[in-house]
Amino acid sequence: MKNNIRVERAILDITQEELARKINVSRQTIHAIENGKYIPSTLLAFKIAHFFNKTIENIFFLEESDLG
Amino acid sequence: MKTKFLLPPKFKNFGWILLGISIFLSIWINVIGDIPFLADAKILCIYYSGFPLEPHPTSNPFFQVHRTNLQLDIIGILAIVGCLFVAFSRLKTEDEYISKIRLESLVWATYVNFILLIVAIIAIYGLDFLDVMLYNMITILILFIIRFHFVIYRLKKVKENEK
Repeated sequence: MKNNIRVERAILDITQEELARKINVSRQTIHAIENGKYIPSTLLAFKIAHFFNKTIENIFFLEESDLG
Repeated sequence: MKTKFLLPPKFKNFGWILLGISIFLSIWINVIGDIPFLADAKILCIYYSGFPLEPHPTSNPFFQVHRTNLQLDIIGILAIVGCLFVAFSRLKTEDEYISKIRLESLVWATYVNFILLIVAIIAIYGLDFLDVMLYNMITILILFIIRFHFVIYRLKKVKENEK
């Protein structure tokens, strides 16, 4: 699964640390999600999408390999 | 998402202190000598048959008062409780990703612990094996603590405040 959190952060000009604090997780978690090392739970995915005022589909994208 | 069964964050420092005391006590006993009131203490034993120290095992092994060496008991309990506190106190930002690392570290520690134990079973014979069993009581926790904190440390080192 891919995501564009890094892009959305750049638009709002906030750091990983700031985003992490807003949605109450550690900076390492944001870092891992952005780098595709960790797929967040549905709840956290919703929280991230809600923070950017977008739907989940606008932040997270399925890849071919996810559908296999 | 909150992980169940974890302790509040402040237990971690308390755990380090307990662990420190147990290490200090074991060094003290090895270098300076026995602590008299612990080395020869009278205590109510819930079960003590006397085997193999006493030539004639007691008829009723339950709830008898005996003189015994409490030093290892105290060091063992301090080390176990200390390790548990350090291993299972919540981080300040304990979230789902940290929980995942915690679980992976626990699985890793279990594998490594029992691989080491198998190697020890094959390699070490005689009474020395008692030492292996003694240390094996807490090696799983120590391995977990090392692996978990190493992964967290490595993650913390990744570029701060990445834009």
